[in-house]
Amino acid sequence: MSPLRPSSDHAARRRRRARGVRRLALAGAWLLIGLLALPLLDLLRHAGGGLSWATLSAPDSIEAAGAGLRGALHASLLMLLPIILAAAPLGLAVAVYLEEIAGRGRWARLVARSVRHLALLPPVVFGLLGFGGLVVVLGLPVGTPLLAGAVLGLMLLPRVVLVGQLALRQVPPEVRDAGFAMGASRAQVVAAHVLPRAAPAMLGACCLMLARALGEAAPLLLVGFAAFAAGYPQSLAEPGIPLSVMVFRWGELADPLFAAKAAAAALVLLALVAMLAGLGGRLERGGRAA
Amino acid sequence: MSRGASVNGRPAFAALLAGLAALLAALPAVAAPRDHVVVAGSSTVFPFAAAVAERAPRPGPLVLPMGTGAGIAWFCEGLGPETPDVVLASRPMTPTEASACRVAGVTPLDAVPVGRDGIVLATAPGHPIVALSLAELWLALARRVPDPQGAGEWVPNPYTRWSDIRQGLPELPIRVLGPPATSGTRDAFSALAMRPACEAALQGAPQAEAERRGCGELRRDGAWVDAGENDDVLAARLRSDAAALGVVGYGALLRNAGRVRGVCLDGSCPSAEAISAGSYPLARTLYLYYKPAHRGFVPGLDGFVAGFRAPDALGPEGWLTGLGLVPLPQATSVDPPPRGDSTAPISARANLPGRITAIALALVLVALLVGIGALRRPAPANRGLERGMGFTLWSSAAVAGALLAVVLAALIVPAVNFFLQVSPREFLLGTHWSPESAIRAAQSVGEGAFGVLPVLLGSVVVAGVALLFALPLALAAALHAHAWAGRRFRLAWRQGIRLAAFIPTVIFGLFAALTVAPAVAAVAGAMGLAAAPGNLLAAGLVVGIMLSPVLALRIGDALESVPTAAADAALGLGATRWEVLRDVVLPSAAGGIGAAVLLAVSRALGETVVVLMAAGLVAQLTLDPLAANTTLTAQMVALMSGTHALENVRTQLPFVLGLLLAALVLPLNAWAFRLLRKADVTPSPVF
Repeated sequence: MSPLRPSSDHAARRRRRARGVRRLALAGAWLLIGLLALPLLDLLRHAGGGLSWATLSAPDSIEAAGAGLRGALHASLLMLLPIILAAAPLGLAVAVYLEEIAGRGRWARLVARSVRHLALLPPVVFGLLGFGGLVVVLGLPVGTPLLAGAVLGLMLLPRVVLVGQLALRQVPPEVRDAGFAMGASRAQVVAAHVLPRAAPAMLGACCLMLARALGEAAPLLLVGFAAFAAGYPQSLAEPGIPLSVMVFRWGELADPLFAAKAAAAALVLLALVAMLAGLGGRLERGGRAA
Repeated sequence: MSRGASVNGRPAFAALLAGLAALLAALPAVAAPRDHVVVAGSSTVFPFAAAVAERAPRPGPLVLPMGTGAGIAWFCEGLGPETPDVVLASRPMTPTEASACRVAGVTPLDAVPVGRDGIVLATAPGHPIVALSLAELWLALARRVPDPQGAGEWVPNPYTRWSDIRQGLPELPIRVLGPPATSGTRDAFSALAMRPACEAALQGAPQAEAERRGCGELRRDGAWVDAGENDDVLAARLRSDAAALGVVGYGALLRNAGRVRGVCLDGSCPSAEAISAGSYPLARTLYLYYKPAHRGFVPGLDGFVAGFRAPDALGPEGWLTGLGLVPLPQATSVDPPPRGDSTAPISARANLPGRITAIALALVLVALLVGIGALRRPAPANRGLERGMGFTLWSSAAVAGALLAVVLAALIVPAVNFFLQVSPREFLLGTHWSPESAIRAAQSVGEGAFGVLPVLLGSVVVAGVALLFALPLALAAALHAHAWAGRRFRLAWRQGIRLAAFIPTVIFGLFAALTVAPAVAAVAGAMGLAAAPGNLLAAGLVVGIMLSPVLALRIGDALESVPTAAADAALGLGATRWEVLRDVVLPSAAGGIGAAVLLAVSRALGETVVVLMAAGLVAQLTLDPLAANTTLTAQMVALMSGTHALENVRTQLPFVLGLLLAALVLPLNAWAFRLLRKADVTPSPVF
């Protein structure tokens, strides 16, 4: 703070104004926090009758009393497999290629720009791409975790590339120079020196991506997931409706018990997402500290 | 992380092996053909089919409600695992559909009746209309009716209130909510209610014979409202829209007993007995069709079809009866078709492009794993390995690029096909949006029903409301965290707001549908304003709440990017914090803040789930945020029928809307990127 004392009306007015703005900003911050807490409190209020062990352990049903989340939980977790096994490694490999191997010419700039734009395309558009490309052209089975994972993987692919590039940029160039000085080739430097350093940040960011994938419903609605899948899937190719879409579907039904169950499902979804996002944030911060 | 472990390579190698094993274990799942039953079609039969599916053995069947027309179109695309095994129909196939089916090789086509259903004219419990005659209903809803001023001329429907039709009827506006044109319920309503009344009216008027062709058509001036495929959603709307009538299936009446009531037609009230016996005029038989040829790879197919005739399903206490399915009268009950048939069962063929993609993906990933493993061993640089690794990385980029190129082509091709049939001018400048009625009316396009402006306006209103709401809040919060908060608050704030940015949109959507939309409607009602139960204001507010964490985060990044030296100097000269913010920090951060706002607008334009759950699906050209309206994204979901026939105008529409959305969002993002580059801020790619 300034060591000067308010020596005049003018100075007093300036301080008053500064205090006023400060209070306003404080009020805005707390209002925002309150508004963000509001949906959660509201869901807790609605969930009342829906939050029970039976809801967690039963498969979906057309009758509200017997409907449960187990099928959706299976589907949601299975759906992450294609993302973990295919989209994430592929995206990270592209990031390594763009950041470490490819040149810096006009072509590379074009690729970088299109990746950025693809990453910020609205998620629904990837639903269309998923329907036209993955369902019609590639023939992936409708309503299965495989398709859900593929659509979300496609949506996250450009983001994974960006995240991977960011993680690689955080590795100091000295590390690479040291590797080259010891006679290692470029690929050796990347594999043995750069990747281990970038790994925690990459892993953390991938966890954040998984959290994002778990919560995303819009693209799935376009590829036919607003449906009913009986039982619970035990492999990628069996029908299963992910949790996020289940919240949407139950939320649309008229029965008040379904609304309660939708709120309960939303809370479960939120818990899963928060867990993954928290883990991802931790890993990312740990990587930055290293 | 321990450097030792990574250099000697043992644990890393084990991890690689585990990754390889997982990859190989996942492959068969991709290559295997499906062996579960896929059921598509009528949303009226959907609950019954879902109830049967629930009781089927593993693997559980998949039931997709998409409307009879779309379901049959998909069913008739041919045989094989990409097409459904069973289609649910609330009417028998038309000759056109049946011949399309035969051309594609789908035979035999035996309709299996599963039960009967009544179409019910439902109202909220206190509604003054309790009984109507079919003729009155027809006069209320037909597109053309005899001139009420006498003369034999037929004119476009002039009635706006029920009391215009007959003196005893209440003085309420005619508003009937019903299923859209793709729905079998709508077809059946036309055939059972509108057509007979129309033909009866023609009996006494030989001079109006030319009107026979348009018999059964519904009026399009807003008295009939397309309110979506889901009967339960429609019933819920009736509760909040007390003056309206709704056309729903009998099952919805049972499921919502006490919340809606059925109107008696021609003196016969909707009940199970009346529907089964056929004395209720709007009763129909529900069917399913299935492909015996699919028995070869879907073992559960016969079991599923037989499930509709399970002994405990159709009795007075049966589980299907409880859901509203009315059993067939014993006399008309048809035996299920014979098991043995002439067509040879087909085996499941895997899709060739899909297989090629899967193999390419697997090869690249395995090569990556092996390459990294080999490179991390302490060994002199190896030229071959180096080249191989470079090639593998290049091909991973190529595979990713090819995937994205294929899907982008999948977006553009249907859109181009659409514009070969509808002029872009009419699409972009038209002010009337009702694609379903236009496609239905004459299989061709026209009548200006593809004007996208109302839908576009809905998107803009939602984004505007969201930004007006979110920007001050986010700006205040970000300024507080930047300038005044202590270290601990700032740290907790950053982590909390990052976490809040991950709250899934469905959660906000549910919040909007359960709480905000009714609250907004109630408050507006108390203030004397007319508000639809689902309105854009509610959707916009909730989208605003949803956007604010990311917006605050990005504004915070922009503020952080301003060098502290100038701010410190100003503080040292005696400026207050606010003056430093106003005169030093904010002007330098303006670019970054502008970019944050642009990115928020583009996200609000693309927001889908909240809008879908909180705003209606009615397209109207209005700026009134209290009206029910629809957005680009909501229409994309509503119009996506699920048939693979991309040459159909209706299936192309979502792609056109998607392209339009992309065309709106891309320049906004590009502008934002330019501002960010100038401000030297790297946007967080996570959000």
